[in-house]
Amino acid sequence: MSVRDREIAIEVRNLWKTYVLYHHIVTSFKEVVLHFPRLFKKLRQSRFEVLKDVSFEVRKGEVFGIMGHNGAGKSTLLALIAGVIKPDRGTIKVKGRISPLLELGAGFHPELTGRENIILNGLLLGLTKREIMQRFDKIVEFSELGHFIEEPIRIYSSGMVARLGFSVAVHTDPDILLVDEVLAVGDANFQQKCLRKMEELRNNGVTMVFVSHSRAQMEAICDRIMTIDHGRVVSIEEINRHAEKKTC
Amino acid sequence: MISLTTRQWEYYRDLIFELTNKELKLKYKSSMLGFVWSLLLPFSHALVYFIAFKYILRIKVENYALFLIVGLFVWQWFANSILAGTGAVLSNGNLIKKTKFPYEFLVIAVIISEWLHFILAFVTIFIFLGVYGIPPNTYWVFIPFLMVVQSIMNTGSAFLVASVTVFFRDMVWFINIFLNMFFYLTPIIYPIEMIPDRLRIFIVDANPMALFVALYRQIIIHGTFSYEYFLLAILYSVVIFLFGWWVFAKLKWKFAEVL
Repeated sequence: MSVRDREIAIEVRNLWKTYVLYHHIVTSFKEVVLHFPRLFKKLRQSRFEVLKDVSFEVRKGEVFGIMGHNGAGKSTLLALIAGVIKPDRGTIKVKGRISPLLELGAGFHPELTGRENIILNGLLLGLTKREIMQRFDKIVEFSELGHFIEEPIRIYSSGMVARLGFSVAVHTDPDILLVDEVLAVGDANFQQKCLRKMEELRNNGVTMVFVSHSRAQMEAICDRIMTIDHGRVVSIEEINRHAEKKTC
Repeated sequence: MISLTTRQWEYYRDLIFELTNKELKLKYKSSMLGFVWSLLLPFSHALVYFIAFKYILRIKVENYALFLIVGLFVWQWFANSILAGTGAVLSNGNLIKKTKFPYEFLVIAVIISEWLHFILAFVTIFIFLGVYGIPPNTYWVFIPFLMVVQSIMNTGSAFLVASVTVFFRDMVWFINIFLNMFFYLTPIIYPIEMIPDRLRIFIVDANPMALFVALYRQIIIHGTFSYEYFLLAILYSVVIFLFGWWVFAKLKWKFAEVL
């Protein structure tokens, strides 16, 4: 069965998102008091359109890549899919449970240990403590952190944090996995391990939205790649993975 | 109303427990005396006020040390809940930006953490009662209810400051000044009887903290209870809670964008 015929996991329709740059508005208390009318003008000027009329859909079990230069709106788009922010206009329909936004330092507290962060992270993802403990050993094993799991996250290298973040996210049985540049750090071995894990998840029908700078990495794993520029969709291209599948 | 499944109950219980645990751990990380500090603060204040008011200004209040301890602990609970509330959302930006979960629980966790402190501090009050030789009285049964009502007010206040501080960082400064003024304008170090009649409506009747402090003192020191004050305190607490909750609910959608 081709991916095309499967049901839709994520449906994004005519999405608009504008950020108000709050910290640009209130620069000082003096300004608030003395230039109150000007403040309203400034409020309008300090708006920044991140996403303009974005539409696409992702099928169940598909790996969907999002490309674009810095500030193109990739991360905002992921945050919208994750539901942590709301769109101004347009709709997002998501079927199934979403993993956290995987970024550097994903949702971890630096002062807590790896163990405590796994539990906290799992809870924030919607698992009960019992459900987390059932997966605990697997998470630690996959992250390859060993005894560091009892140390506070602040002493971890960025690669170690990324490993733990990835491990928690993939072991919480999400229906949809959102991955933002997370594979940019960590050594080549672990990157390969992550890609293999993602392949395994894909075969289990997990939908993935993947953001990366590396075109090569994307082509290795994605079914389709969407390019956005200044908040607009430029293209959605199909990747013929099987034709050039040699590295994995 | 909302009906919860067993799994949901388990989930919310775990979430509250772990978030509270995290609050307590972070509060006392690399601190040797830990929890003792939160007792030493009101006690040191009590000592200074005792010297200043009892021996220098010669205030006429019986059991003045106990009077101070009760008032300061009750006040400290409120002030600490508000101060902890300012950081409840702000210091968890990392979590809020990455996952969608009921952010209200961040505030509830700091409220429970402060409540635990208050309970433990309250135990020391009983030591004072022993020293003064004051026997327990039947009005003590109202103490848990009083705590519940004050918790409602503390929670509402914390919801308010937690959400507003995200957008208006100066709020932390404002709150420090506000708490300082509010402290001296509340009958904590002086008794209600010293307030001139024409000011009483502002300083006592319109001030939930004055009502709470007065109610705890009535029960613990005098063995009386003013139902009028109690009902008024319930009214204020519910209004403050609903307002704080409403503001939080309005603003929480923007947290991830601003943090």
